[in-house]
Amino acid sequence: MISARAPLGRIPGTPALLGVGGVGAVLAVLILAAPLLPVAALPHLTPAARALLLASAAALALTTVLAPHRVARWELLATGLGALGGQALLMALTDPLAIAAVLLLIAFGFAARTGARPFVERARGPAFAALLIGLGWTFVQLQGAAWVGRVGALAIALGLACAAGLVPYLAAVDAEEPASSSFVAWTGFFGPALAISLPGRVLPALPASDGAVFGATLVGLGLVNLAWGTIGAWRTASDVEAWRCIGLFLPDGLAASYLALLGIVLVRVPLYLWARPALLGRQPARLNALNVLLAVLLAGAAPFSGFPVRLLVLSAATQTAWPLAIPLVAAMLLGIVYSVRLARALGSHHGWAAVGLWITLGFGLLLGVAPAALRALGGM
Amino acid sequence: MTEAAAVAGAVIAWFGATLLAVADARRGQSLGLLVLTAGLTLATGAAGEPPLAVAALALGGAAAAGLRLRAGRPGWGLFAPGSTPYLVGAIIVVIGAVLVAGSGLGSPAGAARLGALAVTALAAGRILTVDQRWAALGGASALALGLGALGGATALLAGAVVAAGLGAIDGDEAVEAGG
Repeated sequence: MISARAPLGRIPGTPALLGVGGVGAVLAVLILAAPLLPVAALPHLTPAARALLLASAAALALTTVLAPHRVARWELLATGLGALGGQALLMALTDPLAIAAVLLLIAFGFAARTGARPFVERARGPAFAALLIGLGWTFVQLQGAAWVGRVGALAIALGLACAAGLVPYLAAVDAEEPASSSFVAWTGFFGPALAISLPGRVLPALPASDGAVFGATLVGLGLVNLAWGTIGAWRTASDVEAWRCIGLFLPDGLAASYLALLGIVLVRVPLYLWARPALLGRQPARLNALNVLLAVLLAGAAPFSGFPVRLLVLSAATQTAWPLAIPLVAAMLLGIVYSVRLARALGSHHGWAAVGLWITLGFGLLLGVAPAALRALGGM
Repeated sequence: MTEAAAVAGAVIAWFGATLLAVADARRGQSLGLLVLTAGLTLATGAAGEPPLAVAALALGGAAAAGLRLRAGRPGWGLFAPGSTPYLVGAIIVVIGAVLVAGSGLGSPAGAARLGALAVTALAAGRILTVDQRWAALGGASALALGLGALGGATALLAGAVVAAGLGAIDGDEAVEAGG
């Protein structure tokens, strides 16, 4: 049985949470509407960032209204609106140092939410990411030896991976942790926001040699992550850990990464929220007709969201160096194995929760059949 | 004159960050934040950053220092047993910062950058090595100020707002234990 944890007003920090939600909503709306407003000082979003923000808003609405919860829906909505505001700000700022500072505030605010892991443990990874991005950008700007610039580019790329929750602080995923303070929510909201905005802010300022270091680091991390994620999701004994392994996917190719990030926000994170009752043992894992369709979606098969991403990744890999395609294809094939396991872990849902699952499936289908339209929407 | 002010600001900022790193109680931490804010303000002001942004940095740092007095162990707690690694780290940070960015020491902007680099590295070291919530929050405020001082007007404003915002987060360990 899924029920609200406490009624409005009895939860500690309720006014603060409502305040954060209100500020987040205002920020998101202001930044989204900035091109229509006669205020030049307001930060503007790129088309891809705007598409991601709209996708995040849609995912938030879907999960708040239809997903099974242990926390009150208003609490999830307030947290989600705060996260939307933070995401909008991260994507709108153009100065990487300001981005690093804001990342710090968001991370510590997120870590202050009730959770199973200690506050310091949850804040440490993003703080390290802010340090790497800040130092990296400073090194890149220095008029010194060439190696300083390269170290700077490397630090920014590692900072991006660190902010997404990869190295060196890969957080444990605790099924008992509320969804609104889970590590999965962090990787679903803030990881994609940085991944879509930071390279666009940094790359134009990098000399070609530093840019190559930045790109090669991200491609290398993407390959390691794909292999690690695939094998991890396949081998881990825990279904919760398996859900963590699939979300962190940094493919080669800007369009592929854009579509993959939309897929994480619109499909993977909502599906994780729907899987929580079964992961917590409150529902039996089951493979019914809808779950089989979701297994096809999670496997990245046509006509769903993962398919165009895989095609674009393979296309980019073969253009760069064709041997890159071999481990990619192997990892993609291995992905089929764990997709059934993940779909089974979603359990069986009825009523509005089932409607929400069908809508998520619809999002996956939309991403799969209309990648060109979505790329046009994102300016790619 | 501005070069001397920027170098003095950088040294004061480094000293403040060192105080923060060796502080094991709330007053010591707030003192560290105040001193490093004063140093960064002097250095960035001398480096020619916009006065409004510099003033915002000063206000943000002062607000963070004041707000951090709400939680943590009572007292000053400066140079408590176990501080030696932080002191050694503070010296290593200076050497590292000079190796990387020492070529800019001749200009006020370069000196200010050096001070901000030292603050950033020491504050991050603090966050990565402590287990107490209040200490991590103090380190985070210092990190935000350091990151802000590394950049121009936008970064200074963002650093100030973030430092003050972090000060507003409750540093009481009981919040976590009860949560």
